[in-house]
Amino acid sequence: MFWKFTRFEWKMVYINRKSWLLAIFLLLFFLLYFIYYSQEEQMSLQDQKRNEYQTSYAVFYHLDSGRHAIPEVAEVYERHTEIQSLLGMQVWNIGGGSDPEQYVEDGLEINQLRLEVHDLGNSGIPDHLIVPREDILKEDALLHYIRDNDLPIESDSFMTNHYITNGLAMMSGLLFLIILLISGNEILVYERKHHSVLKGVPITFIKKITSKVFVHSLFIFTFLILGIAIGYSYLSRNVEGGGFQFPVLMYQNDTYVAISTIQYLAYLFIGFGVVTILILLLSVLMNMMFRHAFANVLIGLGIFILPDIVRAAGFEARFLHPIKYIDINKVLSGELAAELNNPAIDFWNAMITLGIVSLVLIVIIYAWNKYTYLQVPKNNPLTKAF
Amino acid sequence: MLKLESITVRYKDKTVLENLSLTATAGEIIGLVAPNGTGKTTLFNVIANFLKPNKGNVTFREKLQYKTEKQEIAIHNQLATLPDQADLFEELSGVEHMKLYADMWNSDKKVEDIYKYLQMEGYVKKKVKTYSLGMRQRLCFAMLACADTPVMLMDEVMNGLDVANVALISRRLAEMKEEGKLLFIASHLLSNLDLYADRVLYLKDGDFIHEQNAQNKNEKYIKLDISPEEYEKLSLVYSLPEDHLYIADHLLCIPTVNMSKEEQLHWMLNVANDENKEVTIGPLGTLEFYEHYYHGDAKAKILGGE
Repeated sequence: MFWKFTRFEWKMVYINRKSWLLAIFLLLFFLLYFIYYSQEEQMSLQDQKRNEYQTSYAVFYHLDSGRHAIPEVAEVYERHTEIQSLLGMQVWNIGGGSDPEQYVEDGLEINQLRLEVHDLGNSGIPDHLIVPREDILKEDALLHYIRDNDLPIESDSFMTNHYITNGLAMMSGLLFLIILLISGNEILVYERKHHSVLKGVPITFIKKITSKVFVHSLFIFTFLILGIAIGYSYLSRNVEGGGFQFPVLMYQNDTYVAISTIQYLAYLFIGFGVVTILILLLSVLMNMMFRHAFANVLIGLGIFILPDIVRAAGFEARFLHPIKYIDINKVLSGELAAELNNPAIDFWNAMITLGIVSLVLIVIIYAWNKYTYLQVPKNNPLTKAF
Repeated sequence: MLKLESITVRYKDKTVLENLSLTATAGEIIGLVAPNGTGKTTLFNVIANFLKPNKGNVTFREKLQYKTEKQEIAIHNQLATLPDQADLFEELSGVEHMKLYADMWNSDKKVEDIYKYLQMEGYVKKKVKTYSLGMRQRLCFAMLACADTPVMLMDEVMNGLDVANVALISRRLAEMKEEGKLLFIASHLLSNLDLYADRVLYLKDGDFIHEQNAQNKNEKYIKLDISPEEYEKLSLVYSLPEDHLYIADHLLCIPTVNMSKEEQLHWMLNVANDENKEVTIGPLGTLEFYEHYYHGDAKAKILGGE
């Protein structure tokens, strides 16, 4: 019965023009984004290092004046000299020198020296020139990953990563939420337009809901993956990059770990999956409550921006933080943990929380439906909505 | 097979059904007759549990009631309702609608056989948005035929159908009855109900006010179409039997049940001659009962009747 109803529900999605608009959007989004992004000049690794070299050089002007009088500054000066020299070597090794292994080794040494400079209190270095400890740890994680996996780093090795992660970052959060809310806005309500056809169909409410959530999730995911595939095929033809084996940083347990792009994508899709189920369940509940398609979108968006409104009003409501977990890219990158000043927010934490919220939604939907059978009519007879 | 006990549906300012009870058995066609807004659809909604009444129970096969979702599914597995034309999916074809019902009710009936029987081959594979009213109505009936449940509720099943299709569906209804199905049919095609209904129930003021049985067809009446003035005159001249009916200010019906052949002849010759009217003899049909109960019922006189 479940699969028969699912087949029908799939047909409902298939004949709905709204679904096809969403499908076209998902199919073209990454392609158009990558085309747009590729028009902008991307900075190669060599150029980045060259900039870093010049910025770092400015530190000497500040250290030079104090290094004779203050011993800590002298120590910092000594390490910074080494850093500067190694940065110069990195620019050469990633460019004309073509020695990627040495580039990585030099990078790791730079990180070590920078951490020592931090331990010395960054004496003599103005705040705007201090490399944050967080950035050092991120760079260290990336370089360790490249060395441990013996990856052949080149000047444009991170290009693919940049495209993919930036594209998915655009999709994650508000945009993905809107897509899901629009997809699910009539998930149950449409039956009211066809109530005499569907009301008496002998299937339990929970089976019906499961079928609907399954079909909508499958639809969204199919076109999301197809969209990424189309975008990637464009990238692979037009952009020189390191492919999916190059690392991306992931925030975990209050630190950053480097994982391959393919792993990052896997985590992201798990996250998208959990968010999809949660938002569709929320849509079911809102359909039951308000019986109105637009209410689903408006209230859904309202819930998403609620933590921002509360924060703007000067309140720190940590219990609202899980609402923001639906921006999986921000969770994975650690951006959300920094933004909400809550280091506990990492991928698995977010997944467990969103999973629990989904279970709570299922319990509410189940209980609501159960209640309709226990209700005793008083002044008016009771009409079954779904 | 199906039992309704003391069903009451009451809104703040209106009582739609009041203490209504009914027992129906398999292999029966029950016609339901009443003007619009009298509670036919409400009654069907209660039977299908689309509406929970203020009071009363619906019992299916002596044990199942709409107390839990499990029991509701068990009942719905054996009960289907006729869809409304307006609720069909415009972008789906007729076949897809029929398959939905055949699938959801695990029916053994072949969709193709049904649409061929109902002569829908010419359009059934096209999208519903291209259908005329009559085509849509046939599709609604075809869907129900695909579900093939032991109990079927049909509200205005003949709505929008031409004469040929009314005959076609009437034939199919009779076959369904032969298959042992319990069919409830609410219809305004009153004379059509006479063809296949075992019982016709007349709903008024929240309850059944009359039950017309197929067995009652042996009860014949001498029928004469006369105006109220002619009726007054006739009443003065002749001593009309106590159980005669004067329906809707135009139809005089004199029961023949307790009359001898001579008495019958006497009435037919005298009354017809005096009024110079055509006299017919036969049982009262659904149309006549309908007029009796709903049209001009304020003036209707039931002398010694019910």
